[in-house]
Amino acid sequence: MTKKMEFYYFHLMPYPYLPPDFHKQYDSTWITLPNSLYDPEKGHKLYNRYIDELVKAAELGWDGVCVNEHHQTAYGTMPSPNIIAAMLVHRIQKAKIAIVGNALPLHDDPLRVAEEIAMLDVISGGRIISGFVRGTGMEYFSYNINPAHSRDRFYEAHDLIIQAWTKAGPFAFEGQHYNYRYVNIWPRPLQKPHPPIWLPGTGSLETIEFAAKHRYPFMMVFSPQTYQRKAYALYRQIAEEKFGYQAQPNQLAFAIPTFVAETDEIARKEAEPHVMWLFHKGLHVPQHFNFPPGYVTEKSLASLLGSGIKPFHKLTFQELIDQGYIIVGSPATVIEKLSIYTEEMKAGILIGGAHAGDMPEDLVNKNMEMFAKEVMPHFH
Amino acid sequence: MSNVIEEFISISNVETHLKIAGQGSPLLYLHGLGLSNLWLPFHQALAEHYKVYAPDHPGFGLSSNPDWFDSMEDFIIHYVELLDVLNLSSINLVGHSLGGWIAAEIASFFPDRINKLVLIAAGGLRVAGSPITDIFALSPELLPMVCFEDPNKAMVIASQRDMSNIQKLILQDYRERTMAAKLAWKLGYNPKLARRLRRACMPTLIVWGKNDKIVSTAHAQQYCNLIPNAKLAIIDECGHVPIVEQSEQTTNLILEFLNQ
Repeated sequence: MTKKMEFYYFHLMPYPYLPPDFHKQYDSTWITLPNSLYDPEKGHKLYNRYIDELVKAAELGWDGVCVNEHHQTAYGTMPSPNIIAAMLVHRIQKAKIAIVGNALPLHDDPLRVAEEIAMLDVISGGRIISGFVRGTGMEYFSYNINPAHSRDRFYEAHDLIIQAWTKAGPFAFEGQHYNYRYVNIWPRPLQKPHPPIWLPGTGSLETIEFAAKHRYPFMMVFSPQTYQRKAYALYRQIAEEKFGYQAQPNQLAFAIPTFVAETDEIARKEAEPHVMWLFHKGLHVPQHFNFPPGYVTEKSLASLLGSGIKPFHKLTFQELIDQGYIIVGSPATVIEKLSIYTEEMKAGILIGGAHAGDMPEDLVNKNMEMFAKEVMPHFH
Repeated sequence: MSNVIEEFISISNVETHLKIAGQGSPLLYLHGLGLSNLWLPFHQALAEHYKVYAPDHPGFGLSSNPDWFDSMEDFIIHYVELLDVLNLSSINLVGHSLGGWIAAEIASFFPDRINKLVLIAAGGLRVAGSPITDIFALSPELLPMVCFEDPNKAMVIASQRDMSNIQKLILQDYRERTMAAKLAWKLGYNPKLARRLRRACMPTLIVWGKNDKIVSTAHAQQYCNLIPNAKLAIIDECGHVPIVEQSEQTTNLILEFLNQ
C-alpha cells in the first residue's frame, strides 16, 4: 500500500555560535560574515553530532535523509553535500540519501557532479536522490559566478549530467557554458534510467514548468502556504495542459521545519528561540545579496515586488506559524496541519526534520522521537 | 540652445536609442551604469560646441536588450557599426565609468576612428592594491553615498526620472545591472586592456574625481601611464560622477581639451 506521505529528515548543519551582538555588528550571515567567528573545535563536535542526528532519523523510520549545498555562511556548513552523503551511505543501511541539491551553475565542471552522484549511487546500492538547485543569490557573490548566466548554466549542466548518466560514452557535449570532447563517466549510476531528480525552489514559473516537463518532484522551500498552493496548482495545470499527464502527490514536496511536543504551548515554547535563530540569524541577508542582477527574470522580480512578501528576517514567530512556513504543536495539531497537505493540497513528500538553528541536542532528540512515534504512523 | 532629437537606429537588429543635439564635429558619448537616457547640463554644454551623439547601450535605457549581447567584444563591434551607420569616419569619443571602459577598448582596437579621447572615471583596468569597488554588493541606499562626495548631487539624476512608477524604475535598474553583470561580474576589468592601450595614440584626456570611491585615482594614473599621449585632470570635491557632481568644471576641462 502506498503511504499517504513520505518523510525526509533535512539538515542544514548550521553553525549556531554567533555573538550576542550579532545584529549590531553584522548585516549578513552570508558572504561577508567573518570566518574568524568559526571555531573549528566546535565545528568538529557539531559535524559529528549532526551526522549522528541524520543516522538516528533513518533508524527511527524516516524514509530518507537530506543534505544540501551552501557556501560561506553560518546558515549551513555543507559546501560539499556529497562529502556528507558519502559518510551517510556507509552509516545508513536502508533509507534514501537525498542531496537537495548540488548547486549546478556554481560549478565550472558539472561533470564532477555527475561522477560523484554516480559513485554514491553505486556504493549505496541505488539509494541516492539527486536534487539540482541554482544556489541562493548570495552564492553567486561567494563563488564569483555570473548570476546573469545562472539559469542557462543550470539547464545546460542538467542536460549534460542526464546525458552523462544515460547515454553511452564516449560522446562530445557542446554547450554555451560547458564543453567536453569526451563524456564517458566511470562509474555509471546504478538506478535506471538514473537517480531520481528533485527540484527544490521557491515557486518561480520557470522552475515549476521545468519540473513538470521532466516529471521531477518539485520541492517548495520556506514559503507561505498560499504560495505553496499556487505552486502546486501551477504544476498540476502545466502537467495536464502542456504535457498531458496528471501530477501525483509524489511529485509535490514541501520543506517545512516541524516541531512537536506534549502540548501546543510546550511545542511553541521549545521551538521559538531556535526557529527564530534560523529565520532571524541564519537568513539575515540584505535583499540585494538575495537577488543579484540576472539571478531571477524581470517577470519574477516584478511579481516578487508586488507580492508584499516579507524578508525572512522580518517575520515574527506567530507569522511563521500562521502563514505556514513552519509547523509547531502537539501531535494532534501537527497531524491536522500535515493532513492539509495530504488531503487538500495532494502533496506527498515532507522534507522536515527536528533540528533548527541553535536547538540543543536533547531537544532535537525529544522532538525527533516524538515525531516518529506519534505523527509519522498516522500517515502510513 | 540646441534642440535634442531622439532616434532609434537599428544596428545588426539591435534597436539603439540615441539623443542627438548640436552642430560641429561629431562627439560620441558613452554613459555609465545608472546614467542611461539622460540629457544633463553636461551633455547640453558639449552640444553647444559639438554634434553630440548619446546612445543608450544595448540593455540600457530605451535600447533593446538582445539575449546574445553579453561581452565587451559585442559592445566594441556595436559602436563601430553605429559609426558606420551614421557615416562617421572619425569622432571625438567621451566615456564615463562603464562607458569609459568601453571607450578605452574601442580606442585600443580602432584608434583610426577616434580623433580625441576623453575617459572620465573609467573602469577597465586592474591596478594592484586598488581594486574597483564591487558595485553589485552595494545596497541601493549606500550606492549614492559611495558614488558621490555630496550625495545630494544625485538628485539631479532623480529629477530626470519618472518617480511616479518606482517599480518600473527598479525593474529598469535591474535590467541595466544585469547587462553590466554580463560584462563585469566575474572580473570588473579586462586583463588584456593594459597591454592593448599602447595602440590608443590619439590625444587623450583622463578626468577623475579626487575622491572617487568606486574607481580610485590610482586607475587614472594608470590610464595616463599606459596611453601614449594622455594628460590627467583631477577634480577636487568630487566622487565617481564628475559629469554631475562638478559638471561645469568637467565640461570646461573637456571643451578646452577638445578645442585645442
